[in-house]
Amino acid sequence: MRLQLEQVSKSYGTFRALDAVSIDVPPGSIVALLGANGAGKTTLLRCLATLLLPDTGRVLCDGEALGRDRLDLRRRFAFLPDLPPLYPHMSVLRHLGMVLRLYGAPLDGIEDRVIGILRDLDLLLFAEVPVSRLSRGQAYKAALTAVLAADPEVWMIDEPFASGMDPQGISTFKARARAHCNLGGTVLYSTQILDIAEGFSDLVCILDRGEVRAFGPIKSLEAPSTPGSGVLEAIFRRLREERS
Amino acid sequence: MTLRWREAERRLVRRVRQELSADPEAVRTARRLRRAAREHRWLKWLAWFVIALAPAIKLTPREGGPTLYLAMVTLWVTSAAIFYGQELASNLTTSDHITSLAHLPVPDGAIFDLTWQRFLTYSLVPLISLETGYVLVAVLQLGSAAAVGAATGLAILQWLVFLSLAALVATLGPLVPRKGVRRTAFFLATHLAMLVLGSVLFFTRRPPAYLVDGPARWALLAIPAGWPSAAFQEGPLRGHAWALALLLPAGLFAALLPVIHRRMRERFRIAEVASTSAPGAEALAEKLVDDLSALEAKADPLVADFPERAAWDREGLARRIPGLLESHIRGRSFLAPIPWDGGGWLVRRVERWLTRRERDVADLLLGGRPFWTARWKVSLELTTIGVATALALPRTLDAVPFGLLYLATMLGAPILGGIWPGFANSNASGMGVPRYAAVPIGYGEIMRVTLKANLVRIAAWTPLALAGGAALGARFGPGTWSGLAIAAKAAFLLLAWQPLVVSLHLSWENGAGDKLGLDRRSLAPLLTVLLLLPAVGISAGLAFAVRGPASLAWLVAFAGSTLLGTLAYRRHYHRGLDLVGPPTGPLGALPLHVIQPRKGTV
Repeated sequence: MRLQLEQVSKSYGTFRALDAVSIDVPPGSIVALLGANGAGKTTLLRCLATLLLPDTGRVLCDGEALGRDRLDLRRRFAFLPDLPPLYPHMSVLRHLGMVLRLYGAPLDGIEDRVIGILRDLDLLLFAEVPVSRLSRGQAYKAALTAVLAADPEVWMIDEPFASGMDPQGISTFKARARAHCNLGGTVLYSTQILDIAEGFSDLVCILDRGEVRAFGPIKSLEAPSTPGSGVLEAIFRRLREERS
Repeated sequence: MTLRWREAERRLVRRVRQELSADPEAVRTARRLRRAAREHRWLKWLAWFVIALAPAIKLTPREGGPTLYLAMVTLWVTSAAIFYGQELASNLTTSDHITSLAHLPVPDGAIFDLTWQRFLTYSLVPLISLETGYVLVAVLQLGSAAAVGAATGLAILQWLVFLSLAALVATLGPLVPRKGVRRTAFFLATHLAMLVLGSVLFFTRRPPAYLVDGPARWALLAIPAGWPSAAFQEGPLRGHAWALALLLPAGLFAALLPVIHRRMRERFRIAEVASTSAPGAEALAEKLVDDLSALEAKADPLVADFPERAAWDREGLARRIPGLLESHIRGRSFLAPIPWDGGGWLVRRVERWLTRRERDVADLLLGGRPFWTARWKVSLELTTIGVATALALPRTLDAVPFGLLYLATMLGAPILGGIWPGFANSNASGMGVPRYAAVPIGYGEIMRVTLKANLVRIAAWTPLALAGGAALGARFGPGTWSGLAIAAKAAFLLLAWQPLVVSLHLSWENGAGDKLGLDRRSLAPLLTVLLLLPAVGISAGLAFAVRGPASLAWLVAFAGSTLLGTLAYRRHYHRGLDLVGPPTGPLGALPLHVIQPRKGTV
């Protein structure tokens, strides 16, 4: 699915969270949304997930305007917030089943897919444990399992690397995201960890106070190279200097 | 100990502003953020003052009015004391500041003191406003400075009694169930008496003598929180010197406060600072192994006879558990809808009406099996008793059948649209996101599911309403047939009200009301609220007030206006509404796995 944002702006009262954002995300890419706190990363993801409606501009999915009433388009992506809203008394499997049914996920080979994901995330033993008994990282993994198993075309994941997941969870997420993109899917995620973004993403979108300051492959970004620091770190240092 | 170091705060604020002053834009932004964070607490105060003072101003001049007003205050104070006591007990075991402070080097006693201070502070808001009513009654009835002084003193005494009562409740433990039908019943029951008295106060020109001399007067004498009110009633208002004797038990009760406080403080311990839940999950897995071991031991007597073999089996079982879970997953039972077995006939009836997709949506909105049949059964029992008491009890106990039928209605019918946990929001990146928002389900689907369920519930409740209406009609004068007609109208209005009330429910959770302003997108819903809600209210009122064909016309007008409201909200939902609301509570509505209860003892 090709995702396009055309001049999308969003304000909270007088605060402009997104300011005429235009990006074009081709299918088959992993996109990192980067920016300082309050830069607009989560707002951008929420606009894509139709939780927020842009004040101006529009979001296009394969050229079609996305709206909250377009369930056909909404079923083609999944949004995972930083604190996933789960029913505490539901078991991991119960939650998983519910999400799969709501997405109308194909049932062919679903068991192997689910078992594989649970095994990879070290969650199989907790499959029948209520979410309230899980740690934060395990609960996040439970919600992530549902996204991975439903496997819509676009995954939109808010702060996966600050979710409390253990190294195995993070590594599974990265491997599965890459595999998903190799099959033509798209992964958008937000993060503050520049090292990961630099090594893991095909494209980066750097937001600064609601504006897109850079969008493209990391190699194409020009930044003063400083010994011992990556390109992204140098870009952020420059942005900060510009601001001050 | 205090949470705030004001001197340091002042110095830091000064320094921060000085630092920002070089950049006018930063100054403007900081000012805007400060303004946005400010809460309009005065609105809450204003609301309480209106609730407290409106009856006092309107009713005190009437004959018997002060007694009813004071009885209302007494019942309210008692009911509030029970809830404040519960809140205190709860805050001493789980609260946001315990969560925060337990990680800092703070002694348990200091945490208790902070909780106690919060309890005292919060108790001032409703109490001061209601007690102001006392002074108002004194001014309106007597007008002397001495009476005002006495009223002030008695108001303070009543506040102390309230605090003692609440603290006593906190030490007694959880009297009120935390959730479920019993909690709803308790909540309704404790407030019902006040509502009935309040309604009588507000809507009758001349309060019935039996109510003034009977239940209202007895309430003042029988309930500790009523003793200061009784002293005020019999003393300053009626001029009886013996009323001073009533101050003694009230004073003794108030004197319990320091004793209870000391005892609670001494016994307060935070037993477990951080109960992370991962071990809980592992413990559950262990339990699973134990359970399966026990089952195998039962099936094979050799296992029971040779414990070492049992231990060996247990280890083997632990290794086999992932395999057992795998075969369970391969059985695909997790893909089936959450079973509603045992939910009763009402739940089965709704389930049969829902399509497969709607059943999936219902799982998300309910999060489990609904309790509609259980509620209906309680409603049936209450209606039966209500009808029997309406026909059998003497007139002095008019409030009993009315109250029972009121409770039956609240439990049996989805007056406010029913309970749908899927609408509730949870905190994500500092904002509340409703559970349904991040999943691809549509407004139409939500409405279809909630309406089907609520229509079945209302259909099941209607016979109860008709029985209750007929009984109340026979008892209170208009006659059995009029009672039936009123109940039928109520059932119709409730039915027609459902689409709108479910929309309002959605709107409440996603904070749509907070976003109504004069900007382009929210103008249409604002106009809808301004124009349609009065239309809904007026048509409902007139449907009850008039008879014959005109009544039918108003019923149709009501249905039309609610339908218009629903359609307007639907458009707003799709075109102009953000599905994020303010998170509830100081830390937001964090999911349970984020904030775990900190166990303490009281």
